[in-house]
Amino acid sequence: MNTLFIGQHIIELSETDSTNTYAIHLLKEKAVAEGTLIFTQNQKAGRGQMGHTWQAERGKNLTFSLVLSPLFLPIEKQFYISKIASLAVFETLTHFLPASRYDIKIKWPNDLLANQQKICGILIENICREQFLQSAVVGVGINVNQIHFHELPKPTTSLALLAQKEFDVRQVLSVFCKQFEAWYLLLKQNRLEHINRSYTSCLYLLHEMAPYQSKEGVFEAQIQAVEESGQLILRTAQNEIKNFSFKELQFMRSL
Amino acid sequence: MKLNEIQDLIKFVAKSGVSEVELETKEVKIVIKTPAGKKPEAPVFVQAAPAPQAIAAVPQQLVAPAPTAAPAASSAPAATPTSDDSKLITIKSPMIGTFYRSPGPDKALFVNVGDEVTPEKTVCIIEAMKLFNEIESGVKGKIVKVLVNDATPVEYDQPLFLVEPH
Repeated sequence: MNTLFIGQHIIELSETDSTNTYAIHLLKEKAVAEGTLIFTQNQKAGRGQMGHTWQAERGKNLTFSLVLSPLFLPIEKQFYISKIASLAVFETLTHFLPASRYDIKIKWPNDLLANQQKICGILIENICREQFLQSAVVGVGINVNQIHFHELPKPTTSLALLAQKEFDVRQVLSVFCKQFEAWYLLLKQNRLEHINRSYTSCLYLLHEMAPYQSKEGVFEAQIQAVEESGQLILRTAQNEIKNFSFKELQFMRSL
Repeated sequence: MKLNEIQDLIKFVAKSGVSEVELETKEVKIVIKTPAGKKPEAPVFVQAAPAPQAIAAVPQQLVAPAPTAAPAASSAPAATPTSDDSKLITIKSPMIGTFYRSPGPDKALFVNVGDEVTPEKTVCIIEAMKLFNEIESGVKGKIVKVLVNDATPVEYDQPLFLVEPH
């Protein structure tokens, strides 16, 4: 691993329910070096947000969790972890799928799309002690060599499906670690403006008129940017600026 | 409005027994609330108007030294004593988000009333913009009350649990 600390210590498991769950348990037991990576080729019960699952065919995909100690980051700025994780996956994907031929986007808040199909999910779990982010566990699932996807609610793809060839899962991991480390160091240096600009420029449907649904109904709007808190800023067709939290808004443009 | 004038106002409200006073001038807006049915306690919410800079430092000074309650000034906001006449400690939300009592819909609760907790014990998850935050108790003691329903929104600093410390 060509990095300073991200992925320098790897715990490889032959199988596990969820690398995030494993990482959280480990953190509750003992000190874990920053940058430690929990990696498995066989995640049996991958988790998405609250009760959702993440399915991966054995040995085909990249599923891992990265342990961080972002004590420098105020709790109210924790969405930056989501931003840099999305950016690191974005750059990993464009490394293997050249931007000239593939349309790679970040769907707010932290899904990755390739040619309008989901290719990666990110699940971030933090441990808050007193008023600090004691630890952050960044769980990433990238579809690499899986070709068949059954009974998934949304169109799903993989690197192999798009590029019509197989990839080395460990090489994908190594590119991710290098990219993530670069973004994490920028965050530590408080280069927030650079992170914000980069993240916004990668957003799916940025500045495009598209339908959204909030509790007030369906409306047309354009994505303008994302707040420090992570809220999405929309400009409606009536030229109003509105902010939404993740749970308050649904994308109605179907993938 | 001067700092001592604000302090006098808080003292006056605390003695008067009213539950809420709202005062708005050109430079500052102050809301003083006292818990209903309890001895008046502390200003809960002080907000400076956007314009004046001289006032900006005032709210922070005001929140800590309250007329009747005197929490240790440097203790973490996550766990501060509720008042002098109660030994209970309140675990508060460190952020805006959605409060969850278990790690998933069909999973066991992190804590129940009557449970003993250590400072490192996770008591709940607060989800904020798809980031899931395990909140540690921060105190050693017994959970005596859960103040928020599962899967409901919480504000910054909102009380979540009452703990009887050991």
